[in-house]
Amino acid sequence: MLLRSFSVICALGVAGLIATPLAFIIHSALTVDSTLWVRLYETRLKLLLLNTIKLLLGVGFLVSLFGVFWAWIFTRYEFWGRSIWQVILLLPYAIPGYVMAYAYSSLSSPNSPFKGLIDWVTNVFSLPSLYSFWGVALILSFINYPYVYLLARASLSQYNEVYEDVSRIYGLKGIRKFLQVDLRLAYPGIFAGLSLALMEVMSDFGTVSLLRYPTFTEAIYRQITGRFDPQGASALSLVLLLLTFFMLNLEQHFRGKIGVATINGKYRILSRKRVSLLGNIFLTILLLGFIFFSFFLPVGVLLYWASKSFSQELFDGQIVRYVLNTLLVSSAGALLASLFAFPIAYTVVRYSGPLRSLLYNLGTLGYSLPGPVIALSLLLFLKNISPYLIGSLLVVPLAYVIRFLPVAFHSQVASLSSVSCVLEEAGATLGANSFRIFRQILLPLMAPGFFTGFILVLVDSIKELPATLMLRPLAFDTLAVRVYTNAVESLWEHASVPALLMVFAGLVPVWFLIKMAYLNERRR
Amino acid sequence: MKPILIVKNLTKKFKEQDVLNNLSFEVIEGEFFSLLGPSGVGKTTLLRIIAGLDRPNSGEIFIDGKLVCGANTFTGPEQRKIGLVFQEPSLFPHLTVFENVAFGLKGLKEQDKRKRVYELLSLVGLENKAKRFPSELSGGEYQRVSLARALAPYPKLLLLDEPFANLDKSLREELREEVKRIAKIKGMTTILVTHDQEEAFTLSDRIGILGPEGKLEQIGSPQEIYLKPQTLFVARFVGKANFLEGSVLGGKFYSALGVLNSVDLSTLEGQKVIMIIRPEDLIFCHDEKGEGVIREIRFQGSDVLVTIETNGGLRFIAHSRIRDFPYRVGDRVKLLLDRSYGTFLPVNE
Repeated sequence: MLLRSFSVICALGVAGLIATPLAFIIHSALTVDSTLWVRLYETRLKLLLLNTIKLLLGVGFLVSLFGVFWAWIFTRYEFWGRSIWQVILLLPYAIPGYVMAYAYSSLSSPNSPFKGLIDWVTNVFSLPSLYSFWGVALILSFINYPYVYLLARASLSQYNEVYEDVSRIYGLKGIRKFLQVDLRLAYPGIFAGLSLALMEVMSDFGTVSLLRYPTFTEAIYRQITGRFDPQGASALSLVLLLLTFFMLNLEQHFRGKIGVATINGKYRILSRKRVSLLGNIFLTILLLGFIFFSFFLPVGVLLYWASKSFSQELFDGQIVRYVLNTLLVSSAGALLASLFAFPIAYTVVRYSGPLRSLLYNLGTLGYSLPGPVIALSLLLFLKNISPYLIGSLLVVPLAYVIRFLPVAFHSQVASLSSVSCVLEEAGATLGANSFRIFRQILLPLMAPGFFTGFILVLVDSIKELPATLMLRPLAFDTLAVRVYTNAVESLWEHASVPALLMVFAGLVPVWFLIKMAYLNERRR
Repeated sequence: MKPILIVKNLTKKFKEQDVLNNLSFEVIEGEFFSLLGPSGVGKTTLLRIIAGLDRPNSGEIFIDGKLVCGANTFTGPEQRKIGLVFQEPSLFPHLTVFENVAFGLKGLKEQDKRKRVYELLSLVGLENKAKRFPSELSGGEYQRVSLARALAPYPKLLLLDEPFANLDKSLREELREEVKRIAKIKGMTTILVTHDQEEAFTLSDRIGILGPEGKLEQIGSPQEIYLKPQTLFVARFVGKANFLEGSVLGGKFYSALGVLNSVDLSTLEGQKVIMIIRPEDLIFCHDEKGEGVIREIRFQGSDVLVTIETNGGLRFIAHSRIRDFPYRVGDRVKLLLDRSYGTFLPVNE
């Protein structure tokens, strides 16, 4: 049909737009001569690889621990305030990593009123410094554990009570049963979530930069802003890309396995065990502690600095401008991403050919492209195509499109898959042309998915830091940029209000997550 | 007797395998035509090709005298003036019943549109449901609206793709009658795709049997199909049948049950043939020296199904009247062949 061929052509165009800048990085990295590679390896790569691997292992361990533990507790036990806690537990996802890093580092800074307390606690418990591997790992785990938690939870909640009976018949109990039955069934979800979380860790720039823990993203940023060395930056990007591509493939591999182990037909959902009084007290303390450190403490710190900024009258009308700047570039990015995602989503859902998997991979590619890499690729691309566009307002939304296209893509695919292609065929047999079918059938039916995608990209764009930082026009400040630049200078009060606004924006996707994850469960 | 649909030498391959194999047939104006076949023989594919939703590899299709699909011609479904009722739910979920039925009405004044929609809704008995959304309809109402929507633009040809398959039995029968009534009122040329024999036999003026490898095995009235199957596949697929092997020599049919003088077997002279006998045509009677023994008797309500085994180990089934049924299992019987109650087909080796 016409609509189909048109969408294929558009999809290929969009795919080209996304892939071309990347090609520039790869080309630039591949033309790096071997002596530079050797020097890079000695001076930077060795340390970066080591740091990254350490971080992946550390965060991987912590997010698995948090995620699987909470998923297990929430799917198997009934305890005080369970339904409220499961909402609260997702709140950390609203905080961008660099905001949490800023909140924690401001807490122990010399001009913090809590410095004395913090130092005392650190000494008594001989805690490692925040500016260390453990500080970075903990913060990144707090904000990324929801990926593991949600996917593990989805897997664990598909558990059929029959397994419980079978285990009992074979005498499997306790930890052995947990490892051999529950984990065996849930592992694809856990690993898919883990891959997603680790992909985020590799893409993270703000947290590691503020806590001075050098990783690839940070090094690429320095290579570009410090000594404008695109070749070195490209080489580093290529290594990072190989790592993230690997992770993306891992994620898709495990995602494909989710649900394989479910039984079709009659289903007995496991009833949740009631927890004893002691258990209830223990869980409540545990939950309170977890959420205190992962959400309420950092937000409280932000509120404290914000109240100081009011009293010191540091808060001026400028904030309105930052908000408008942020909304301008983010909404442009979200709109473009939604428009560009449509032909790819449509083709992937309706077309079954060799092109399909190629387009699917391009549609999800952005997940694995860290912000600094996208910024670098666009800089290289524009330098060769039209240098006068560098530093123009157009480029920032373009970076958002490349980075967050998968978000729009996934929500559109989800809504398009629920629109049966029979409806389009029925429209055609009733004399409607492709345009009318698109306007009167497809568009109204997929509008919710289109809208959800738009909002999610909007919020992601608002939170995006490195690409904005590297590509923005001179003196064009967004909220994210304000938080980062002020936090780097230890101007805690200045960073607070933009940071709080971003946490508010971050609550929107949390709301979507809650709606999606928990409603699906209830329906079953 | 003008043909509305002409299909010529239609072939469709899927991954080098024939789904439809050189089909040719015509459907006449006002006729109710069914395509009957087991599942997986490309019936729906054929219907989709007629509708213009799929393209054949070769062949021609004429609708109302116009070439809509040929070597260098392809008219899209939106221009073929056909109505299609799908097996799957196909009403637009975001539009009301009224809006759904009105969807295919273009270039009509608002007033005429209204009139037409209500005309069709009253035809299917749902004029009071015009403001409902599809999700608020029952299964039967849903397919009635689908039918009304397909009929609304007054199509040249109505295509039905197993439209009753997802309904329960009593609703299916009810809706079947209704479709037949509406098709006759409107003088609608209708093509029904189904794997349900009863459905095809009760509704159709003519039936086309689609066999394996996508061949059109036979076209004919329900009686012709049942009484004079032209291929073994048709004989096996439609109803029950006994198959008696034998050969024709000198105008006579020699078989394990004896010799039969037949009316006209000259075209089959010297060949191995199979005689197809419907169970109600197989007559038997008590005979101590007969070649058969009754092995099983099954009372089926309206008649009796008797299984008879010959000395040579052949098994036959026969229908008998339930009144005055004198037989018991183990009785010896003689089988009486009647040449006018059988069909002879050559055996292809």
